[in-house]
Amino acid sequence: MNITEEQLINDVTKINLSGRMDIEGVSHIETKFADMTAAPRKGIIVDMSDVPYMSSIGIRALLINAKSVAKRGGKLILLNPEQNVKNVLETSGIDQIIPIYSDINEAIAKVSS
Amino acid sequence: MLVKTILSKILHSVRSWPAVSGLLLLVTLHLFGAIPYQETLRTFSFDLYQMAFPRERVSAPVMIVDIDEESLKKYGQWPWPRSLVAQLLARVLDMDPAAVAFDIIMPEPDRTSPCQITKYMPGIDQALVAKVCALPGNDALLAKQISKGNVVLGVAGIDQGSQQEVRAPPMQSIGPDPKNMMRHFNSALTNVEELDAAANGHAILSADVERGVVRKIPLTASVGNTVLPALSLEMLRLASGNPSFIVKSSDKGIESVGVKDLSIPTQADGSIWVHFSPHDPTRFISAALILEGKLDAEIINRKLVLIGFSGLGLVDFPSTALGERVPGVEIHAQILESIFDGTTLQRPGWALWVEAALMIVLGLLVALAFPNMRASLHVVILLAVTAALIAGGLLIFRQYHLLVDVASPTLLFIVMYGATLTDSLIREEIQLKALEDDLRKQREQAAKAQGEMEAAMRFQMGILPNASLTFRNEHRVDIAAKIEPAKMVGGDLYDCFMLDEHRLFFSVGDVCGKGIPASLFMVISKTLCKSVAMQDDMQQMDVGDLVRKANLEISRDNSEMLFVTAFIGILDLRTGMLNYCNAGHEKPLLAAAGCHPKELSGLSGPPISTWEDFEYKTHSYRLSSQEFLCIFTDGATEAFNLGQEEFGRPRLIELLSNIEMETNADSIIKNTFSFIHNFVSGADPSDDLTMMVIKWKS
Amino acid sequence: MIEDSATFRLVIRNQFAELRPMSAWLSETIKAMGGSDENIFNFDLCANEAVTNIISYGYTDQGEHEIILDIAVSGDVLCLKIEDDGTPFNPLEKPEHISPHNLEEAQIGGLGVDLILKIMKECHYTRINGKNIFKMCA
Repeated sequence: MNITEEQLINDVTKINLSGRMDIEGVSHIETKFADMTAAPRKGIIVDMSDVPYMSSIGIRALLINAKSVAKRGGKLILLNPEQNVKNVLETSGIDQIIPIYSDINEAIAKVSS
Repeated sequence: MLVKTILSKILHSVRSWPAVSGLLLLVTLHLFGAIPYQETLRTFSFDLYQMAFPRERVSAPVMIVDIDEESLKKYGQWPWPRSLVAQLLARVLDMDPAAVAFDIIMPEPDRTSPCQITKYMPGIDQALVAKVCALPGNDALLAKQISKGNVVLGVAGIDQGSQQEVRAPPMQSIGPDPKNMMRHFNSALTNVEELDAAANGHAILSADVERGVVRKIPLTASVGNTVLPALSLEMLRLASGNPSFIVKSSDKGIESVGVKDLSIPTQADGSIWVHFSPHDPTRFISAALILEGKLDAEIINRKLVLIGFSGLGLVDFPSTALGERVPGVEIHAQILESIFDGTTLQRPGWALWVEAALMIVLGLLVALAFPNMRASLHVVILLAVTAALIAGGLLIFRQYHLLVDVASPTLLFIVMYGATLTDSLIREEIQLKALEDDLRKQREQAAKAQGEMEAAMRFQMGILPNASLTFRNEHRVDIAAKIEPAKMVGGDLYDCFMLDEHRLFFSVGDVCGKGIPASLFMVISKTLCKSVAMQDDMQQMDVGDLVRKANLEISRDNSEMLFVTAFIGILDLRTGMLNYCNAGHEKPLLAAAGCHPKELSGLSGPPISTWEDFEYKTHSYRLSSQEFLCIFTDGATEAFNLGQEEFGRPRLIELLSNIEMETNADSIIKNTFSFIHNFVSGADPSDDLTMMVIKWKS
Repeated sequence: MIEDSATFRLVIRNQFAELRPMSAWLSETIKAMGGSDENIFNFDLCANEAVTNIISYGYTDQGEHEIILDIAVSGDVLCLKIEDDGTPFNPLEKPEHISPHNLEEAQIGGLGVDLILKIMKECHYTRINGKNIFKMCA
């Protein structure tokens, strides 16, 4: 699994994940993910469009990071997950905790405020 | 040890074999559920448990939204347009229930939907049709509401039909595959697709109705290949936010159903016995009131809401085990209550075995122990055991909510007791009859023997001449004779008759031995004597010779080894000359008033029949007209009193020394006998008392 | 199209490294059986969750164990059977010998199970002859 980041307007960070988000995958990006969501960053968009598979371990990783950002008063949201992955997020009720957006501009607007 | 005793008792008691084998057969049938009518009896006894201790409602987690008479009056007959149902549901959902379930199946699309109605309007403007059909259909409206909350829709299982796919919540099973253990339906009556698709919860609506009575409900059943939960279970699943329902099973069948943290023990086929409380109108709220919005949200908030009918004619009212007829929807409510309160009923798997064990114990008690106990004890035990069993069954029901069938063992106990009792009575009667028969035979035999004795006695007595009477007219002699037999028939005999004009023949004899043989012997002897006496040439009668001849005859037939002592005499009434023969007999006494008695001492020989051929001597004596010749047997001298003292010859002599001047033969005998009686006083006579007294009157 | 009720088997060791090969096998096999993409995703996910639990909580020793996967189709229903020889453990249940350290961990621990229960139509667990047999169908 791979992880990259890019800076957007309004101090928003976009983290791009690619690959299977399973035990192995998450183990590769764990530390970097945590770094990328660390202080002082407050607006984070996680781009999921390149993630074909996610298991509970993946959900866990998203949750951990989302919570640490929220504790500092920031926001973390997901962008464009694949349909199957989106189903999983909805089934597990995670979409109520971490909002899902399909439009990048809306996403930016959401995390900027 | 106990087992050994029982086994040995069974083996050694032939009598109990049929009972024990019958018992084993019954118990085997019981274990296989093959006894006819046992199920009926059992169910009836379970109903009695419920009637004795109906369930008390502790919690009230359920509310029934009732489409009742009021509602139908206000809002129209059923079927209502689904848009109205949608409204009702919306109002309910507004009040935030934990879950809602429809106890109603809606299999057909609503024909009152706006678009559908246009079909019934021929010649309607097509543009109008298009607009109308763009409106949401009634089913769509209802579907929308259904999808807004935790709503359960039910299907009804159908045995016929081809296999069908139905919607169901995810099932988790633990243990062997339960699909074959539960109630199965090939297909089902489902709701309109639009509605089913919108619902979160899917359940099966069915109950086991047996002759109009609901006692059991399956909590899970399969339709085709799909396993479904029952309405109550599905409501609980949604209310608790669980993604799946759980079925736990073992080799013996389904053990429980439920959701995480809630396990409801079931029978092996996944059903439960419903624990009934009485009908309660507070469970119901009229749909009309809900539609009018006149209610406090409290009524519905966080409750499990059932939407159903109680309107007459719309549904059948099944009966409960309490004998009440209630709307079916109330039964679902009751199930939910009992799950909530933890008071669901169960007939545990071990119940069958416990009942069998009871049957064996009671059966053995009757077959083996009862025969050795008094009947009064039987009844006490019977009543005590019956009471204990009934009390036990009720107690287990009340405390542990378990259904144990005590009716079967009790009935078995009573029936076996009845059978054993009847068997005993019959046997006793047979025995009694046998005893009676025996007794009768004995009595008959005794009577026969008695009769023989009596006959012999009559015979004997019959041929004893009444001396006084016979010689009443003979003035030349005063003669009297009497025998008091010791037993019925004695061994003593006498005889007296006139040989010819002037000569009196008399004899007194005593057979050694008693009873019938002796008496008969005596009779024989006497008859012989007489006939022999009659034969001889009267003139030349020689008494000694006579006795010799008689002896020859009598000895001949003497198989009993009896012998006779006899005193035989011939008295010539002209002269008073007595010729006599004393064959071993007690020497007679000659008594006269004022004189000391004299012994007639001549002895002629041994008792008759001791020696086959004996020359008996004849003795003579001339009687005086004052003398009384007293002949007696040893019964007089050997009369014993209670102190084993014998009367004795001296006393007799003493007595005879005191006779009076003017006395006669009869009086002497009477006096002597009464004296001897006084002496004996109370002791049983050991021998015949015999006396003959002869006085020659010149 | 492969005929009904043919079974395909994969045997793996109790190591997380085996999960990727397992996913690959599932993907191929289900496709060959005529399953949809959704089927593949769902079984991939649920198998991962289940096997992860088994590897994490099913054994008390440190030894190497075999986990056997069988997948078969019956009518419209696809079933995956997972068999292991560990301690009695139902992958859907909270492992008794592990206590979560905090609420968070507990919640996340339950997520995988939750997913399986929601996604799969039927789940069966039984223990026979010292083996855990877990079957899921969809």
